[in-house]
Amino acid sequence: MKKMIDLMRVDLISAKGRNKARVFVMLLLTAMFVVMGLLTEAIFMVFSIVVLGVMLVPFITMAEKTHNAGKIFSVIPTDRKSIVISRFALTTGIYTVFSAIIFILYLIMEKFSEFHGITISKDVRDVYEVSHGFGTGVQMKALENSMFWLVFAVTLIVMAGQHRRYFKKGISSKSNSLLISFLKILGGIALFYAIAAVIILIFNVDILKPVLIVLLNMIMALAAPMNGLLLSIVLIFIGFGFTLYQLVCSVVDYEAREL
Amino acid sequence: MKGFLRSTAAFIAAAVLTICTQPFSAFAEDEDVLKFPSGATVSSVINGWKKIDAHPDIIKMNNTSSANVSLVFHGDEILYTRYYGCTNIGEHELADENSVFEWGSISKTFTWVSIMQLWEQGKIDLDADIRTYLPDNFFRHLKYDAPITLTDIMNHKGGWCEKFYDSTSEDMAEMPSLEEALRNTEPAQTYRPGEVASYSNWAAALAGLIVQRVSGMDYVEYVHKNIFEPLGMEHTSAGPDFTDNPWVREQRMKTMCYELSLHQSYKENEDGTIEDGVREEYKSKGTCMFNDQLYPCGAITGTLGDLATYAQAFVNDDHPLFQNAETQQKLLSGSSFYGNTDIPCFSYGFDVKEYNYTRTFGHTGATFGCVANMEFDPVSKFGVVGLSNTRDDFPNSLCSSVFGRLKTKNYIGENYEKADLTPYSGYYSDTRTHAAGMGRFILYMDAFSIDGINAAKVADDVFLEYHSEDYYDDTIYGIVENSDGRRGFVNSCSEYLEIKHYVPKLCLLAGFMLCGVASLFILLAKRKLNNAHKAAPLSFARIITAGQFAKIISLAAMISIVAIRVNGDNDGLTKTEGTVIGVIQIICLALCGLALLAAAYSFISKKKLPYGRIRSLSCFAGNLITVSAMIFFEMYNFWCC
Repeated sequence: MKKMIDLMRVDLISAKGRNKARVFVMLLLTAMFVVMGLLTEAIFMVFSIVVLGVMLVPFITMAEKTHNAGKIFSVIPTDRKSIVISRFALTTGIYTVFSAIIFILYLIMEKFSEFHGITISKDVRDVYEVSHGFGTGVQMKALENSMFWLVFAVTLIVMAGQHRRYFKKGISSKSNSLLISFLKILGGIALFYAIAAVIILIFNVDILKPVLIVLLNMIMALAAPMNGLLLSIVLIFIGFGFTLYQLVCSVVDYEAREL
Repeated sequence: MKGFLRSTAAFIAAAVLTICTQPFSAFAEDEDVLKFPSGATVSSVINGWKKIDAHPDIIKMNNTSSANVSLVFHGDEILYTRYYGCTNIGEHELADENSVFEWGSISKTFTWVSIMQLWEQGKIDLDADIRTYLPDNFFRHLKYDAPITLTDIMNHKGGWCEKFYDSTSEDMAEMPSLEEALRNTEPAQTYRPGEVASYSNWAAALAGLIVQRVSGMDYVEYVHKNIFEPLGMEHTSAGPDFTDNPWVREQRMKTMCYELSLHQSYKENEDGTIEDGVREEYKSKGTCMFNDQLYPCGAITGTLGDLATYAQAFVNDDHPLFQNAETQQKLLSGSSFYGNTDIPCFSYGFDVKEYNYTRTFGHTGATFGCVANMEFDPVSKFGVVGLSNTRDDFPNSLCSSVFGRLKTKNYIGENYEKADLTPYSGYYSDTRTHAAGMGRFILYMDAFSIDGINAAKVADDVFLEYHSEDYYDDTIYGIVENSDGRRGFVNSCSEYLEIKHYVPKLCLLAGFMLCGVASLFILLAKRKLNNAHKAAPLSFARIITAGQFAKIISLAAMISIVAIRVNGDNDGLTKTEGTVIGVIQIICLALCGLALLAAAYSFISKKKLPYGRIRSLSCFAGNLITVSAMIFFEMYNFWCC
């Protein structure tokens, strides 16, 4: 455990020395969404965790390149597995703690939503309340709560993917820059849609329909109880589960890689 | 456009209704003027409808819309008939008096009428156990020994859940007898008879078999002789594949069925203004003809005129369908009631609707391609019937003008009392679902909480769901407590039944699905470790791996049930499909069981492995969740569902 903590310290020390402007941009974007959430709709705060999550991994890995911190790992007595685990633990830990804080803030703001909510949201709520009755199970609040943790889980999955790419291919100023990271995400989404479109075109959309029906029904069923807590737990489980999978793969990749 | 014009028609009718019901002296009531139960003058409303029918846009749309035909009657007199749209849009074949449509579940009322006819002849006792009228050992899946009466079946309280297996035949040559079809598709009995309302096609068909056995005639023959012939319904068929009426078959072949989709459209006018509206698009589904093995529950097909003739029989004081007037009165007197009130929720198989000024009886119907509606008020003798060849175009647009607003404000008054539903807080599910067997998981995906529902008190244990001061829902609910301690909310022949310990059960189902997905990633990770020669397998690694494969296959098998139901043209799985999925699930269950034991052994063995304990424990937990879920949700049970 001590070895892990030491490795995390190395990462944090090298991160401290990063370009202050980049730190500023990251914090500014994060803070901007928090403030937006405080002033308008609390759920907007969820974007702050996306910004932090997506920027955190490239930020730490790029710091390693800038300061040649990678060489430290060849000096200190450690193994590659520990390096991978410590890096995953550090970023996931920071991200989780930050998300938990934002969620608490979100819940507090939700309590006072009457004082700061914008009209659009109120209209949506009114419409929803009118249609709420027998046979409808999901409440707006539950959907919002679940949405928060869905975003959390997806960002966690993206972060785990970033880690794996880094441990598999190493640092590349091109491939790990913040802009490229964003573009990759966009590209990934585009690729996802392209593949989905091809599947729909070739196999007929009806093949996907039942899977979507089961998925949607299950999501709605899970979102209904306890203001979405159940679905949130499932989403968090999926996020961490996938991170664990990427961790195992990263260990294998990193140990196999020629440094 | 059609929707817009219909809305306009409804608006005009509502305006007429409002004016006519105002207590102004200038509009002093003329007792000679015939009025609908809504209060609107018949002539003014019909003139309004006729003006709409003559509107150029409606005439233009007539050639490009699906058929929606309606008829309004008063006693023996036909007041208004509307044949709108096409039975075949591609060929521009307009609907007319010779067009035939499937009446769907309205067919059930023919069974209920037959039962009442046999009852008045003293051949059937409505309160006797139906086993008296059936062959020995007819039922194989009964859970309760309690007698099931015909009254129970007519109230949809026989206790059967929704049937799981398909009951249609592609080829008439393969068509089994009604008795055989009922045996083949017998659903599980999941509720105590006489307690829980659960709409059942199967039970309605069973009543048809009883008619057959008691009368000694084939069911179709019985209906022809005792209903069609006395009423002169020559353009109606009761049998599967219309074998009993070739003319109906010929006409039915001409009726195409459609799927309606609405699109927002914008049109620029000459003055440059933009007009937005809704564009209707009809997608042909072909003839959508099917041969229902359980034909008494939904095979009747005929013309609008014949449907009107049938509905008129129930408002006829000469009771042409029954020997005694009392039988007709009994049929429409209510057989189950909300709480201790005299408000009927169902009447010997007939739906009851509460309007502000009147109460109607009737039934609705839906098949793969057609929808139908029949409503009549036996007191005022007004009635409305409608048929359509598009499932999304329900033919009841004239009802509000005839019967008034579908509201029940008269039961709660202006100063209504709120009904406190807090003591009934919990999760509920519609009883018309798969409550047993391999489709049982579906029940847990459709449940909902009643917390947050606003209710106005009608009487003790009877309430009206409402949303705001101005908006009253038409739905009355009665609260019931069943012998097993579960509460339910009854409306008509439907019930929302409480699910005890819903959240843990839902967690189990979610856990099962997560285990399936997680197994996929575990297998991928294992493959990666194996390729890198870094794998450190647990004891009985092959069994554990087989268990992981089994979890994925089991999840896929579960989803395939929905896939078959969504993609299929039938109304359930075939026996072969069910058996294959069931056998796969049994194999998966066995493999997961073995993997569970292997994981347990691995946990207690002293074999030193990296993260060995955690891995064994997580593997054990995953298999335990999967096995528990498969057993609890009866995913293997293909024989009783």
